[in-house]
Parts: sequence; C-alpha cells; structure tokens
Amino acid sequence: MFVAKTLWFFTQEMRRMYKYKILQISLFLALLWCALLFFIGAEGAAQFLPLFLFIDASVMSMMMMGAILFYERQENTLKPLLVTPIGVTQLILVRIVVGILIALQSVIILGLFARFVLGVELMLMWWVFVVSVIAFAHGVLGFVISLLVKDFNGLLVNIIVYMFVFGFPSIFFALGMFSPVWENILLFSPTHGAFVLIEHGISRGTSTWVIVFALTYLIGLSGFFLVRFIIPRYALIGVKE
Amino acid sequence: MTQDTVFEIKHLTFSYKKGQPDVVKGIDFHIKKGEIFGLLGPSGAGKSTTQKILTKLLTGYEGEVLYYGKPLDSYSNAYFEEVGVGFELPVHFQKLTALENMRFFQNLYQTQAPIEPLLERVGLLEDKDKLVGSFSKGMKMRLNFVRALLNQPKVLFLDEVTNGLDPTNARILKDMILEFKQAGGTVLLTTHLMHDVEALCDRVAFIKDGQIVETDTPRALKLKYGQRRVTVEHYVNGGTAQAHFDLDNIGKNPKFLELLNTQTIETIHTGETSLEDIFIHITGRDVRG
Repeated sequence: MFVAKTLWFFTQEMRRMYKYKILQISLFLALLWCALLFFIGAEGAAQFLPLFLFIDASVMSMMMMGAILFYERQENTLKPLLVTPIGVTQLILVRIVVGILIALQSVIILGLFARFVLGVELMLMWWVFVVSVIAFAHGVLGFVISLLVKDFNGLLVNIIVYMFVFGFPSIFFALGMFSPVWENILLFSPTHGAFVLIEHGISRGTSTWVIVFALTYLIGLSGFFLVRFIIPRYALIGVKE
Repeated sequence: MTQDTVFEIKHLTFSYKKGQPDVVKGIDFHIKKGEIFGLLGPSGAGKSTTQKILTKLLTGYEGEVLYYGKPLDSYSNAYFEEVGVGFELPVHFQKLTALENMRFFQNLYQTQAPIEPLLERVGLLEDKDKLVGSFSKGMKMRLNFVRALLNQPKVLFLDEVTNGLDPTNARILKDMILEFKQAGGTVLLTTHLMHDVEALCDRVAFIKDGQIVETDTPRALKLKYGQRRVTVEHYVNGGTAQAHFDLDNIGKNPKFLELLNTQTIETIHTGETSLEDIFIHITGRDVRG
C-alpha cells in the first residue's frame, strides 16, 4: 500500500507538472538550448553544452522546485495533503524526484541532439547519472530557499545571489582566471562540483578523486539539508496556510 | 472514559514558540462517538489550534490527547484513514478539474467513497470536468466538503463548513452532516455561525483566551442563560403594548390570565436566549470575531 500510494502521488505530481505547464516550459527551454547549439556549431557546442546543462540542472531545478512550492502555497494545497496517510518525507522526496525527471528531460534531449545532430562526442549515460545528482542537490537547495522566502520574487533574488557567490568563481576558473590550486577550495561550492561533473561528460579528464569528492559532497550536502532543515520545517508551512 | 469516547483531552496546553504565551491553556473536554461537538469562540481564542492538534498538524503540546483511549501521537499516518478534514478556505489545485482534484486525494486512502454521488449531492456533478480555478467560492467550499468525505471517515473535522454558501447549499451540507452522524460518525465543528450550531450540535464548548469557559448542550445553555420570562404583546387603542411576567407559576398568575382573557393578544414569547446572545455573553465578543 505504501508503494502504491507513493506511485500514485508521483504520477499525479507529474500530471500536475503537465497541467501547470512546467513540463512544457522545461521542454521549450531544452529546445531553445538545442537551437542555440545549432547556431553555435559543432565545435563550439562541445564548449557550451556543459554550461547549458549546468544551468538547466542547477538554476532551473531550483526554480522548478520554487514554482512547485509557491503554487502549492498560493492554492493552500499542502494542508490537505498533510491530513492524508502519505507522510511528509514521501511528499518531499516525490517532489524532488519529479524535479530530477524534469532535468533529465533536458539532458536527454540536449545530449541526443548534440551527439546525433552535431556529432559531439559525449557520455550521455554519465550525464544522466550526474544530472540526477545535481538536480537532486539543487532541487533541495531550491526547497530550502523557498521555505525561507515569502514569494517567488524572493526565490529569484536568492538564486541570483547564490549564482553570484558560487557560480561566478567556477566560470572564472573555467576561463583560466584562477590558478589550478584554487580548484580544491572551489570543490566546496556545489555549483563547481556540479560543473566539474558535467564537464567530465565531454572532457573525460577529471581525476577520480575529484569526481568522488564532488558526488559525495553534493549528495551529503543535500541529505543534510533534507534531514535537518526541510523535513522538520515543511509541515509548518502547511500549518501556517 | 468509556468505549464511546472518541477523543479525551486532558489539560491540553500549547504554545507556537517557546517563551511565547500559551495559545491553548490547559483545556479539558471529550467528544463522544456519534455526536456533533461544536468548538466555539472568537478569532484567536484557540479553537483552530485545538483542531490542528487533533488533526496532527501540530505537535509539541503538553497534556494528553487520547483517541479511543490511546495517545494521539502513538498513531501512525494510518490515523488519517479514519478522519476527514474540511478546511475553512478552499484547498484545491486550481488548474485541475473538480474530478481530478478528488481523484488526486482519494487514491491516497485505502477506503474510498464513490466520488460522483457525493458531487451530485452537493450539486457539482455537472461541473466535475471544469477547472476548479473557474469555480465560485461557494462551489470550492462544497468541493472542500466532498474532499473531507472521500475516505469514508469515522470522524469529521469541519471548520466554518458553510462559509460562503447560499442558504440552499448550506442546508444540503448540514443535512449531509446530520446523515453522517446518524450513520455513527463523530463531528468536531468549528464555526462562528450560531445557526449552524443550533441546527447541528449535540454539545458545544465555548473557548475564550485559550480556556474553555462553558461546555453543555445548546438547550441546557439556553435554559441557563435565558431569562425565565414571558413577554406578551397585545392590542391597545390602535397600538401595541407589552407586558412581562415571570415564567414560574405563570398558569396561576392572575394578571397574566386576565390579560389573556380580556385583551387581543398579538404575540407571546418566552425569554429564550439565542446561542448568539450566549456567545456574546460568555466570550464578551461579537460572533464575527
């Protein structure tokens, strides 16, 4: 019964994403990235593809999670869910899985387009794996920010601040503006870990310990926020509705 | 406590944050199986907080909340298989249809009531395939009520259930609540609408500043707070005059009997107090909060 209820809730959440056009917006963005790659051309695509995937798996995952939660707040639909037999942890995990699947929609479309239309050599299954981890981590971060701010604008401002603090150093590093010794410190930034993991899908030159550290760090950080922050606070939002 | 007691609340105390004043201050009451129990009080009195505790939305309280004799917090999520909650505000996915909304929630339960007969009963069957976002507030409130019944609950928690409804639809919902009770169901009703209380409740508790100040049947409260007087309006010289008499031994009151025999009587009223008057008397506040 537990599995059946969770599966039902999952299918309904996916249906809701379709009805609320979140799936379609994500699909549109993936097609937009494809169009951009097409105009950039095969050579440049290998450079820009990791950046597009990074933006999709990180920023978009945070925004998607925020959209899900703010719609929920606007419609007062958390409270009735909290008085059903489905548990708070199930609710949260299903939402995060839905966020991961939306991110995977983009990576599969972009990966297939780059591989078969532009002829870019890439590791699609690797991207499916790491984008799942990155979308999970950033979905959790989007969840945390959404619980702390009052509205969707607040979420957007905080995502911009987050990207400014954690994203730009990684981009500067990728452009060779920082010395390689900074990489070890940058790995403590979730965005840098995410970028390194995605880039490995094309460059294949990342050392094993960096990959292991980045994966462990992203999963560990997400688990920490999930257990210590999101699960205890999520139900309180419903009570305040 | 007997087997007929669904909830027993002992010295229940709750504060939203440590160090802040208690919102609920050591209240005691019980709800029997098959009764409609009204929790009444002005806004901020603690009735919604109490209801949130009983629906397990709030934890961290002091005192005891027993459900069929066992502490409420010892029940798993299976508790929600037995209860239905009708919220004060619409709680629906606006971009799903009424039927999609109901199915969304219904399949989360093991026991499932047929949806369409319920929609038909509240007059929403024809609108079942319309987006809830296009519904009026009254339609959303009726859908709220259907949502609360989807799992064939044994206990119903209803908060301002007829809020925003026209008298006809309010009557339909009240009839359904009474049928639920007749079928053995138990109801905790929270409302400001004293007409609903008079029509539905077997017993009521008035809550003021986090404390229960009165618990009894509506009839007993009316007798307790009512004036034992009779007011007679009679015709005098083209106008109306009033005369007041004590209700006690009225059949032997010569002045009363003389008035009946000699004057044209227009109306006779006992000094029965309405629940609204009692609400104001007990809580010191108007029913609208």
